[in-house]
Amino acid sequence: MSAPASIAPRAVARSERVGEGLDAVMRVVETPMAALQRLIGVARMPYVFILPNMVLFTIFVFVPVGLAIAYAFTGGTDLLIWDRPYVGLENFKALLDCGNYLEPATCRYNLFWTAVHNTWWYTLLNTLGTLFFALMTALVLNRLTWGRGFFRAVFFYPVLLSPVVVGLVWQWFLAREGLLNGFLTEWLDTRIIFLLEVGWSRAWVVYVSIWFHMGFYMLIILAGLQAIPRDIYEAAQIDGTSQWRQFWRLTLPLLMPNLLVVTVLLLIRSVQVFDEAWVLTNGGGPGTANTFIVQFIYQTAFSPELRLYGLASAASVLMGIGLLVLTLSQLWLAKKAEV
Amino acid sequence: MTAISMRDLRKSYGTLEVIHGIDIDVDSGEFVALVGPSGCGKSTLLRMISGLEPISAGQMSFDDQRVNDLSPAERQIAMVFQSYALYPHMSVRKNLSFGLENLRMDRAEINRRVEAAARMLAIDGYLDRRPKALSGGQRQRVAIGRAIVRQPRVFLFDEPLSNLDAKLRVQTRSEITKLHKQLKTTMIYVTHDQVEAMTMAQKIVVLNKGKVEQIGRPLDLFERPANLFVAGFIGSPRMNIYPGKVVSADGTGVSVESAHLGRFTVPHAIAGIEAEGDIVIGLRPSHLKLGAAEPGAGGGTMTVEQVESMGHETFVYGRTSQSEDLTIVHVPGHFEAEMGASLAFTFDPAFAHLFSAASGRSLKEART
Amino acid sequence: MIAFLTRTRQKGRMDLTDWLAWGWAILGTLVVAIPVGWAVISSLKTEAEINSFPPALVPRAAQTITIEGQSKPLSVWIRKAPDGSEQTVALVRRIGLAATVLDPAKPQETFRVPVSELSQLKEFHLQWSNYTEPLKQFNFLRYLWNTVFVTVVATALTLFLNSLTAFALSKYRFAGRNAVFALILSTMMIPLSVIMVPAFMVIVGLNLADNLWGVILSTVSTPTGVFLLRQYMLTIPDDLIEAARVDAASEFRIYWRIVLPLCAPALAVLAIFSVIWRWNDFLWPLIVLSSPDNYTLQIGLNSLQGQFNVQWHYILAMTVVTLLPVTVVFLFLQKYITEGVASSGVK
Ligand SMILES: Nc1ncnc2c1ncn2[C@@H]1O[C@H](COP(=O)(O)OP(=O)(O)O)[C@@H](O)[C@H]1O
Ligand SMILES: [Mg+2]
Repeated sequence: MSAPASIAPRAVARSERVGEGLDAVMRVVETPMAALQRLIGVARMPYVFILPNMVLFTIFVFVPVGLAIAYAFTGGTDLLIWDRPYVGLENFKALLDCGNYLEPATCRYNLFWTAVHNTWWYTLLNTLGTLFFALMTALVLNRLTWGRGFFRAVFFYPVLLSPVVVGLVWQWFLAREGLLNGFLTEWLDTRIIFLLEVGWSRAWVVYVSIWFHMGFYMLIILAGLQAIPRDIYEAAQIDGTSQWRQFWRLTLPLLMPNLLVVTVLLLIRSVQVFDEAWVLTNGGGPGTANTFIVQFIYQTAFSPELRLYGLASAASVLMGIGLLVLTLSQLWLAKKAEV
Repeated sequence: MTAISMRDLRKSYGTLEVIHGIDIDVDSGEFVALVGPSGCGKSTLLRMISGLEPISAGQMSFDDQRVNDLSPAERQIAMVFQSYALYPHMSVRKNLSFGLENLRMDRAEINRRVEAAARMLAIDGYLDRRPKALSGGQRQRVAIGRAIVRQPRVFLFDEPLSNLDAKLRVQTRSEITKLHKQLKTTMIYVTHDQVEAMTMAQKIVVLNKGKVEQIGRPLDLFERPANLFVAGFIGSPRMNIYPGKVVSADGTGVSVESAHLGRFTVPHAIAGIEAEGDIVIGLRPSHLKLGAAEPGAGGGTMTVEQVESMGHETFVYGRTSQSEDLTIVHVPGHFEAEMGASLAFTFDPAFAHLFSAASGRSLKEART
Repeated sequence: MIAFLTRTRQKGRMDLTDWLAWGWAILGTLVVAIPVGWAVISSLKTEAEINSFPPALVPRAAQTITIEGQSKPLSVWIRKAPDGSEQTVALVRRIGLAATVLDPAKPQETFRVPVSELSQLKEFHLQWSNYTEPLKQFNFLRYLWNTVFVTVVATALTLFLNSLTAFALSKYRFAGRNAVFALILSTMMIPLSVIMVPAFMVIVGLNLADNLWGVILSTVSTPTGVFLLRQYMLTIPDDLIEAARVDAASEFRIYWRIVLPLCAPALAVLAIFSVIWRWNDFLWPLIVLSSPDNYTLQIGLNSLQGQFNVQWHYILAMTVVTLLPVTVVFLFLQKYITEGVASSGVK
């Protein structure tokens, strides 16, 4: 917490002079705050301390949440809510107007339903894939006695990159002149324009997402693994339980609460897929093969020729309800895991 | 030099009242100890004096000025915490000067005071160390030094010695006493250790369950405990307690009968005492002597359970009957006895404390 | 060395699962490293090299030679004559399938050969101008500065305001404290994607559209930050705060001089995360910022690839510039970061 006991007195003195320098600067805030304290009393100071944050939360979260619902019931292309006509459930009706929900072409807003379908498939595959790779990697790292820190860092590294960087790095890797096509030409004498083919591009979007985020979930699972007491395994070993059985009968059940939380977290994040997929596929292509719900909202609201804020908000509200259900189930699971 | 007076002071947390109307007067320059068992509200009361804890009802004044709504700084008190509460990220020097800087005091004056306090407490060698690099005793001194430099109107101590080992505790005890003599500032000292209170304080306030049991000079509390609680709390080892009955009382004395101590006569009058009344008899271990009772003196026999000899003195623990509390006898010098042996003891009835069995109040006190 | 490698959990010989584990770890490392490494290598290639296929594994450039009497340096080629003899030549010009070359030893005599007989000589070459050009030409210096500004200011404000809130929530009892805390935590459940439309309206209403402050202010308050700091502050003894109060410190001074320095470890974790979050932010700046002068690196980078003529040599160089700070931070603080994530579940 504080500096070690062995720290040289001179260093202590020096650090304190720096502190005094900062102190002089901070007087600008401190003096009025002290005056305020004299005015309103100590008991009211905590309200002053939470005020700036609460104002920001109010402006940028609470007000928008209220507005999102209000927007969903208005039409037109004006941004400011007071200029917008009330249209009732029109936006929801339009979004949900569909001959067959499994067949986006039969829907009034077929792009929305395409996005819903894409998101649904993406969520399924991404969740399962990430879960599998994160679990395997965590198991592997937990097994290593040497180099674990190194590999943990390596697998975690992509998590810290930006979606744009990830999208571009992979776009380049998969490009027509990219490394992968280089190898394909060398070995199979063929070349695939991965990101322009529907099937391939969808597969790569899922793959890149797993590559990008896997390390985060891996860390959480690894923490769960390391919380399992060693002696359980030692007892099992003495009983002659095979490693395979140990995994199915000990590791997996003990890890289950942890995995459930990770799964719901993954579902929540997958539903909101946008950034890296958007960059990788250059805006959801080919065609609408990789257009997801958030992209639909973004485009419906902000592309200059649409500006359908009401429709976008209605879609937001629908997605928000879905996320809320997922989040609440996560809280419920987390609580159950604690007990 | 500040006199403090508390009038019907109360503190509640929500609906739970923990201080139930306290009246205390602290004279200017006095050293007062607040003692009582753990959880009785000592710290709460001290924090009410300091201004850290809002006062729910009643009045607190410093030199006749009402201070209920003043902050600790405005009351100009200094406090030494049980945990010392030294700022871990600041050097000793900074720990001492922080409070003065907050008052925007002149730098030269700050340095002068810090140096003076450090010299006085012999911590001038560690001024540039962090508290972590100090021993428990040194930290304790820094905590005291932090209070001294402020030159407060009142010093408040909350069990400042409880984190020290026994030897250091005795030494620091006398140092704090010396400090008080030197500074002549009003000091209020909270402790659950009655020995500390007895040896240091000029006046002791015994608290129990948020109420004052007795206020007095240390010797007064020892010799004339106002009630059974104070009698049991002050003095080490504790007072021996036996049930008894008043046989007769007149202007010359009170005749008492007890299943454990036989019949004896207290040789002075006690006002308002009734014959046939149930009483409790209290006897200090040092007032008991081993040996058969002489006529007129009280006495009993006990079965020895334990003998603790310190060489220069011995405590003999026994029971007068299976159902009663231990009887403790103080024997000067070394003494040996077999477990289970039967020993007779006696005492001078003049030293017996009589308490009402119903109220626990001292019957001796009723005379004055 | 072998003994070191084989020291596995059973402290015995490597069994099959150990080999599989090592295989997985090493393969995974390659999967992580190769795309990033490839981008870094490619970012140092010339435009011609980057568009040539199949790609070379190292950055190279055509070897050139300056010949007297020729205005420009000429590229160097190997000519393989039909008789099988080889000869080094310099290419003067090329028209269709025929090329005019000369022998560097006899610079006056040019002669024509079919292009099919020529293969170019290349040498190792790092094209640093990929990095310097976009900084000048595409305003990238501006994007870089905007990003640094947003990151630094937002992180400083995040630390300041969130720690102030955490201080109030952890060290005071006041009416509504639990409600406020619950309210702050509940904002974790509201992702940007759900409220982006009205949030943008609020930005427009505040006249902060296309303004870096619009990006900064809306990201400053984070429930994660408040939560992290509050948990840490709960471990600071209340005695210290009361001691400071007795020492005549104002409440703000207690925060500033006592609580904040003691929270340094938690502040460091939050600072690291905040820097990474703000550096990497994409969707919100994409919504708020519209004029290129206000772009952050991420937005600028994204806009490059949307251009008609995709200049991968520049895009990749700027990608590397963008990932470099995060990588450096991670290299130095990886233990801090991975442990922070594992213990707090923050991302
Ligand atoms: N913040 C609080 N809320 C409720 N009860 C409290 C609080 N602080 C102290 N108490 C109660 O007040 C009583 C006195 O506590 P305290 O003054 O700390 O006792 P001590 O004599 O050991 O110093 C205790 O019963 C304690 O439980
Ligand atoms: Mg206490």
